[in-house]
Amino acid sequence: MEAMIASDARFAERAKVRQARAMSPWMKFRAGADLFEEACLWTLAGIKSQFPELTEVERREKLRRRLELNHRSA
Amino acid sequence: MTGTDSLVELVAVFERAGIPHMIVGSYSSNFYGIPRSTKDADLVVHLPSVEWAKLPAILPAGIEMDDQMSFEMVTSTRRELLRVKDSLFQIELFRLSDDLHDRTRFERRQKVEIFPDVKVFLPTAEDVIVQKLRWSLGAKRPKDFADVVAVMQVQGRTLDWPYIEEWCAAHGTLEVLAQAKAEAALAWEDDDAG
Repeated sequence: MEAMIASDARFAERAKVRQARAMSPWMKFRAGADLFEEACLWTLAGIKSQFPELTEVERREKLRRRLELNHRSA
Repeated sequence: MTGTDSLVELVAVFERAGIPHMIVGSYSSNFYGIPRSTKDADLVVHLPSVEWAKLPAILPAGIEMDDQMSFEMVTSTRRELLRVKDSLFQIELFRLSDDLHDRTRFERRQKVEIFPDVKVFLPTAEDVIVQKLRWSLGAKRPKDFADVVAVMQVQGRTLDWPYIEEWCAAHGTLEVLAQAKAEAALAWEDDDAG
């Protein structure tokens, strides 16, 4: 399995490089914010699943705290 | 079409076709951990090799194979790259392997609601950790280690640690597990402090 993981990782990296080469500077600039927003949607879904009793505002507050956590450990 | 839109559409097609599947990779770690931007999604599908070649015919409009030939000619293939038309978002499709943890992770997958009326299959938080630790070591990718720490930081003591340790012992990843746990534990101390 370890050899398969290394091979899959190489496959993924090659795809990412091709993807990046195909992006215009403007696309790269916009991608950061757009992709971050999308990633946050999935994390908010996870928070809702784990804490169904929370309101939308409370869920966003939890997300904000998680992001702070990331900044602290970076 | 956003990346999430295309992913949800593809998953809906698999549902209708009765193809068992689950979303893995950073989409699953984002669900349990801290958001990290990504330009691609990873999907595991349980499909016999003879059926693999039939996939192109059921792909939704707007999602196409990177390499049609590999689907048609090489039935032994176990991964494919799908592209979203007019977008740079891509989806990596992996066939479920015979690896014991790959199988176990698939059997334990959970159906969760992502958006109202949209449910998808994801691995458990424990299996996200076990698999990403394996990738962190096998593929030498720091982002996998960072994802593991993020899931541990958020899920903390609610995780089934004996389950994680058992698989890590089998995979030879106990050392990297200990490193990730030590890093994540700093956040738990913050929790304890209130």
